[in-house]
Amino acid sequence: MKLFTLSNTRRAVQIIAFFLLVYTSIFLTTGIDIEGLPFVSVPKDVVRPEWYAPEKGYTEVFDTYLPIKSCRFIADENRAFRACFMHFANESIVWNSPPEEWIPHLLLFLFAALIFARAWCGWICPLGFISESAFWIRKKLGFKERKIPEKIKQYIPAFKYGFLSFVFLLSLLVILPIGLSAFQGEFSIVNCATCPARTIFPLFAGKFSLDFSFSNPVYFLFSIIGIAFLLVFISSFFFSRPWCRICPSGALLSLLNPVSFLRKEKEKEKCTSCGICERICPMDNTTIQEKKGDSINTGNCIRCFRCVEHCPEEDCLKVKFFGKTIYKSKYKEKTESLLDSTKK
Amino acid sequence: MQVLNNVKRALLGDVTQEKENPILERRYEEEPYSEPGKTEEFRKKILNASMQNLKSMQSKKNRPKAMAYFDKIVTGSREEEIKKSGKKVLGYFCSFIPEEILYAADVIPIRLCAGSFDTMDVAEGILPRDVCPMVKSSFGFKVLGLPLMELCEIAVVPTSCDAKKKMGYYLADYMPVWMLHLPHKKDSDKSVKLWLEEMYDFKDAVEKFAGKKISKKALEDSTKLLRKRTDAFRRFLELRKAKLIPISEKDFLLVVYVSFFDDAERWTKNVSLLCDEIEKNIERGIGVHSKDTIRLLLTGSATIWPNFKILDIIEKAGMAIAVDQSCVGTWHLYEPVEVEEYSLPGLMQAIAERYLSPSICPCFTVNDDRFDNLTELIKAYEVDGVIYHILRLCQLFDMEAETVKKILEKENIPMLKVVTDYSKEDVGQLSTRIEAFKEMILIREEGEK
Repeated sequence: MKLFTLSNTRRAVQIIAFFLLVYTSIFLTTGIDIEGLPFVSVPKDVVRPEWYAPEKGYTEVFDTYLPIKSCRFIADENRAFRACFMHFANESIVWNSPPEEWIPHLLLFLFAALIFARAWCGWICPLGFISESAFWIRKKLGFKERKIPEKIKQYIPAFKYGFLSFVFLLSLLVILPIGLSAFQGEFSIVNCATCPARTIFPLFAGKFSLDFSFSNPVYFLFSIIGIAFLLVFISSFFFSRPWCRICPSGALLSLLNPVSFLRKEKEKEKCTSCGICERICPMDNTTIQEKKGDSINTGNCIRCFRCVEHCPEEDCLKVKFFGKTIYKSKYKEKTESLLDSTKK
Repeated sequence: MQVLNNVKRALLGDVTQEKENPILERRYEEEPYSEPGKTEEFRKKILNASMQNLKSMQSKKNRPKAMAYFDKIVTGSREEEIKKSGKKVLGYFCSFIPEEILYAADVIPIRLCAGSFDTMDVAEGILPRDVCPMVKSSFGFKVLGLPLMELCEIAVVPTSCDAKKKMGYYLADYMPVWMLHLPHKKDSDKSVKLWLEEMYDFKDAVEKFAGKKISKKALEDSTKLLRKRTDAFRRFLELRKAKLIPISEKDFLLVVYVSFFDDAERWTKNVSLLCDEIEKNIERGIGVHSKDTIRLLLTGSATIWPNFKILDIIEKAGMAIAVDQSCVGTWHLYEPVEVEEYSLPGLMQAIAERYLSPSICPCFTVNDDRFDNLTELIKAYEVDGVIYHILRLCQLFDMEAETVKKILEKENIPMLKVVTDYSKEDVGQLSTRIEAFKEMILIREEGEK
C-alpha cells in the first residue's frame, strides 16, 4: 500500500485545513495582527447589530484567500473569525467601508485566486471536506451513489452565477440611496445568512443551532433559501459534492479557473477515451470530451486532480504550476490507497 | 409496504430494470451441417500448423527461455486441464466480453477467434465464400467439432461487425448463442447506458448458466485478479519499447493468444517471469533482431495463431515488427478496469466502460481514437514504417485505410496496405511487395541522411 499518493496527500491537507478553519478559535489566539500596515480597523461610529459585528477590523493579511481563523458561526468568544472571502467581499460593500480598508485585501484575494482558483474547493474548504467525508461514509456503508439527473444538471450553471449576482446585487442595493439602508444589518452578509456552514460548523464545535429567523420579510427569504441550501448540503451523503456545484464562493473562484496558474493540461492524442476520468470526477466534469472541444480547465473543476491520478496513459494529463509540470498521469499497478482499501 | 420497498430499493441501489435474456432464438431452424468423421484428421492438421510455427520460432536465436511455457500451452495441454477441472466453459468472440464477470462465477472463458486456414473450407458448406476468413475459420471449428470450440457450452457474440452478427445467427443451430447488443456509436452516453444494461443481463445469464450467484466480493476479487494481469501486460509492452527489440512479434502474439484460454493467474505469473528475463536481456544488450533492423508497426485486422503468414514474410524480408495495434495483440488486455467504488453498481459501471469506450474496433462509426493511438504508438516505439494488414472482405479496416494513409503522410511515415487472407497462395506476390517496401524505406533513410 502506497502512502504518499495524491489522494492521501490531499486528504491530509484537507484535515489540517479543517482543524485550522474550524477549531482555530479554540486552539489558537489571533497573534498575527499587523498593525503597522494600512489595513485600518472598521470605523467605530457605524451602527451595526452586535451579532454581526467583528470585534477587530481587517487587520490580518491572510484573511482573504487562506483564512486561518474560524468561521463566524463557531467563533463567538474571542471572535477569531471571518473565514471565507465571500464574507469579506460582501461586508465591505454593505458597510460602505473606505477603499483603503478593503482594496489591499481584494488585491491579495485576486492574487491568490489567480494562482490557485478553485484549488481552494478541492484542498482546503472544510465544507467540501465534510461533504466528501459524508460521501465516503456512504461508500463504506454500502449505499448506492446517486447521480444528479441531467435535467437538473443543465440549470446548475445558470443558478450558480445567478445566485452569485443576487448576493452582490443585494449588497449594492443597500448602499444605493433608495431607502434600503434600514436593512443594512439584514443584508450585510446574505451569503453567510444562507450558507449551510452556519448550521454545519457549530455541530463540530459541540453546538446545535438551527438559527433561522422568520421575524421580517428579509429574514424570511434568507431563511427559506438557507434551509434549502442546508438540505442540498445534507444530500451530499448520496450525491457527490452537491453544494459545491452551486456555492457562490466557488462560483466566484470559478470565473478565474480558466486563467489560473495552477492548471491541468491534456495531450489529446494520448487519450484513449476510456472514460475513467469522467467516472472518477467528484464534480462530474467531462474531461474526456476534450477531444470534442471542451476545456479541462472548466469553472467546475475543483483541482482535486483525481483524474490525473487515475489516468492510465503516461503523460496524457499533467498538472502545471506556472508552466512547470508538477504531477503527471502514469499507469499505476494496482496498489490500494488508504481510502480505497476495503476491509478483508 | 410497497412504498417502503421502493425507498429501500432506492437507497440500497438495486438495479430494477427489465431483465432480458441474451439467448438468440431462430424461428427458421436448420438441421446443423457437420462433418464429425473428420475431427481427428483436422485436429492433426491444426496441430501440424502450430508445430510448424513453433519450430520456426524456436529456431530464432536469443528467444527468451520463458517462452517454453507458452509453447507448451498452445500445443494442447490446456484442453485436458479444462476437461479435468469440471468447470463450466463459455466461449466468446471479439474483445468486448468482460472476463471479470466470468471469473467471478467460476466459469472458464475462452476467446474463440480462430486463425486456422484448414477449417475454412468446411464452413463454406453453410456460409458463403465471400465472408471474412476469421469468421469462416471459427465457424469451421464448430462444424468439425474441434477443441477448444467443442469444450464451450455457450458462445457469446457481440454485434460488432456484420460477419460476426450473421455468424452468431448460424452458429445458433449448433449451440446456444448469446447475442450482446454492442452499440455502434461508442462515444455517447446513451451507448454506455445501453451497454451497461447489456452487461447486467449478461451477468444474470452467466449466473443462471453457472448456477451460482455472483457476489460483490467475487466480482471484486476477479476484477483485482484481472487488473494484475493488465499490470503484467503493461510491463511487457513497456519493455518492448527498448532500442534493441527484445522479443519478436510472433512470440508476443503467441503470449497474447495463450491468454485467450489460459488461466489468468498462471498466465500473469508466467508473463512476469518472461518480463524478468527480457529485462535482463535488455540490460545485457541481447535482442532478437540486430540494431539497425527496420522497425515496423502492424495495424489492421487480427493476425491470429497459427496464421502468421504476414509476419513470416516480413521476417524473411529482414524487417522487424516493433509493435502492433490489433485486438488480438496490444489491445486485448491493454485497458485496466479502474474501479471508483467497490460496490456492485460501481464495479459493473467500471467494467462496462472498460470494454466499450476505449475500444479501437473499426465497427464503431467514429473511431478517431484509433488514429490518435496509432500516431502515439509510432512515436513511442520509434517506428520507421507501417504495415496496414487487411483480411480480405473486412470492409471496415479497408475503409479506414484511406484516413490512416493521409494521417501518416502528414507524419511522414510510409505505409503499405496489404490485403490478404489465410491461404498461402499469394505469399510470393506479397513477398515482392514487402521487399519493395523495405527498399523504399532504406532509400528514404539515406535521403534523410
